[in-house]
Amino acid sequence: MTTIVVLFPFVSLTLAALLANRSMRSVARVFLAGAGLIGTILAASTMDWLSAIFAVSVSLLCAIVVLFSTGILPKGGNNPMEPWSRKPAYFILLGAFWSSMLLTVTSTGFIGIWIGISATTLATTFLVAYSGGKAALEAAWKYLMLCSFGIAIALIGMLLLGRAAMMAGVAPGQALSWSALIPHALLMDIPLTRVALTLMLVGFATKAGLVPMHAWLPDAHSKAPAPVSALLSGLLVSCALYAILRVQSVAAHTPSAGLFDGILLYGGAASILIASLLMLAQRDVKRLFSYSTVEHAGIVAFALGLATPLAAFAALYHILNHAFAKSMAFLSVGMVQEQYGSTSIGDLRGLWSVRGGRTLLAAMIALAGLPPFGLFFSELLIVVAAVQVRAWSALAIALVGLLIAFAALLRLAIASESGTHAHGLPAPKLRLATVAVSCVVAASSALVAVPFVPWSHAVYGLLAAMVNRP
Amino acid sequence: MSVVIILAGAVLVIDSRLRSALVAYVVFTLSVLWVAHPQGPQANAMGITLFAMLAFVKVVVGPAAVLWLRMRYRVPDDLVPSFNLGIRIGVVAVALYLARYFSHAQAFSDAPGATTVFYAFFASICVVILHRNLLAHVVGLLALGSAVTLAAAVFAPSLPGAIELADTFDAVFATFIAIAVARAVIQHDPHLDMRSLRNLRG
Repeated sequence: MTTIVVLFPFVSLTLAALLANRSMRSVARVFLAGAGLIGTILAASTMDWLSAIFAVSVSLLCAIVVLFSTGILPKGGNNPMEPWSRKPAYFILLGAFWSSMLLTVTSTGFIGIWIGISATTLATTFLVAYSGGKAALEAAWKYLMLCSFGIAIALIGMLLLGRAAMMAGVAPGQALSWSALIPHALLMDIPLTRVALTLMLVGFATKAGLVPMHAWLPDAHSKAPAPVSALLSGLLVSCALYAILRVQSVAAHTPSAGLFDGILLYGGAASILIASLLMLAQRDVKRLFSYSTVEHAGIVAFALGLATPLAAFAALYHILNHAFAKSMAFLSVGMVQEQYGSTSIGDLRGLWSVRGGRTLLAAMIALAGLPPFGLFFSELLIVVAAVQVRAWSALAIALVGLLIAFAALLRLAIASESGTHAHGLPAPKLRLATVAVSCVVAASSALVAVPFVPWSHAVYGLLAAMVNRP
Repeated sequence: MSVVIILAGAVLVIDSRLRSALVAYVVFTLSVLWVAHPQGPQANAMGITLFAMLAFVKVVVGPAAVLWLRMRYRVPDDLVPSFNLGIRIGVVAVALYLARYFSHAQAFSDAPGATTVFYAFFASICVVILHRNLLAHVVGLLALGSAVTLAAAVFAPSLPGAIELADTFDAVFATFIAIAVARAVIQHDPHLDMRSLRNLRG
């Protein structure tokens, strides 16, 4: 069942691209995206809680992005020179991206996660380069090179972890499955396990865009078409953080847990501070949101580094909230870009009165960590968890970073929403895109209720078991 | 075989011609495959078939794709090193020193060949860092795939062969994608110099 769910988006969107009639292709895409989402929801019962939550989130956001992209073909495509810069290829690659993320979050071992994460790089490089412009090609090149090297480092870490596991008596076929690794974690060679876990962390952190491995992220996320940026920032980073969470579930049962958590804690705090400082210097709204992604990945890493059940729950809650809020931001920017023809902050005025402008403001409020959005509650929980474990120095760095990020978003909100826009803006058909953005807004708002629904206690229990020391 | 890998890695880092780099890469990879070839219980029909596929894509398909781009678009043979010859030789020496240093760590005390693995890994990264031609980056990516194969053979030979196969296909797919992107970059810069792709900063 899970295999079918994983393969369905790629296969179905590829088949849809083969349909001769243009309208039929559009209808088929929307229908198949919905079917992919329903299939994931049905299959979620066969997965563990963590995988189920991520899988449903991946399929929900991907389905919304397919809907959005059907409404607005990203600008700059249809370059006759490059086959990957055409609309059918765009949707096939989107399907491949969706499938590879599902593979990442539904795998029961590190090999599946690694294959999924590396497949996301292969599927999205062409999406980043979709516009075919020089800047997009530069972003795609950096993305491909840095992420390929990053995941190679993760693979070497996995090989070393497999070696340590086999030396501890785990069967070779099970040596990279976390359910087999955890019971043997205390028997594994300590120095070897320490090196292995650190390399895996560095590799997956490259994909998550944590400082100092973040250089590719602002370029790739800002140069990709807006719907792709939504998936890269909202989901791909979440998948990489999911991989880190799974590595931490093994690390927590080894004597190297303290080192691992320390790297996450201070790496996360540094990511928050550096990314927020860079947010202040940005003149392009997509690039600013890209640095905001680095900041939020840092918040999650910081929370995971605290290594308490409350912090782990808050980290997971933050990942989900960020995924939807950032998707809302990028999809809104896509609508605004369709009308203004620009994403430069200097060109955006009077957004309050245009389509996408108000949802963009809502997204900025959410990303700044203000109520009523879920990011406020997840950040509050993380601060409480940090106070509980007295991580004062890291907390101080993180709080300074959060204040700076808030200032950067406030400045953007004032600059872009106030004033009046230039007259004579084009009035493109944004019906489907509006529906898509409304879905993200609804999902983002609904997440506020998560801590109050009964199954969140089961998730809390699962995470507590993952991070609790033996 | 370690000496051949070290020499081929040195040529990859030091030499500034694409043809030499490709020859060095093929020698480097053949040596790695010699170390990694299936032995004992893994030398069954399945293992040998997987290994043959792995060898074919690494030694034939990857370099052939790079050569195709070079000949089709008349890309200069110069890999445009960022540093002079002396520094590049120094980098090789440092890579060798670091590889020996790391391999003497307690974690690798019972892994003969760890020095070669680390050296292969550092050399692959240095190929990318020390050259500005995008095709040098592609060769570095291919070499990194071989370094991972070597790491699998030395550190965890009994892990499932699917891991190496997955890595090989990842490296080769990444190579093809890199070549497709490089082909698009040629429209902006026929020399494929990384300097022309340094506008996104800050």
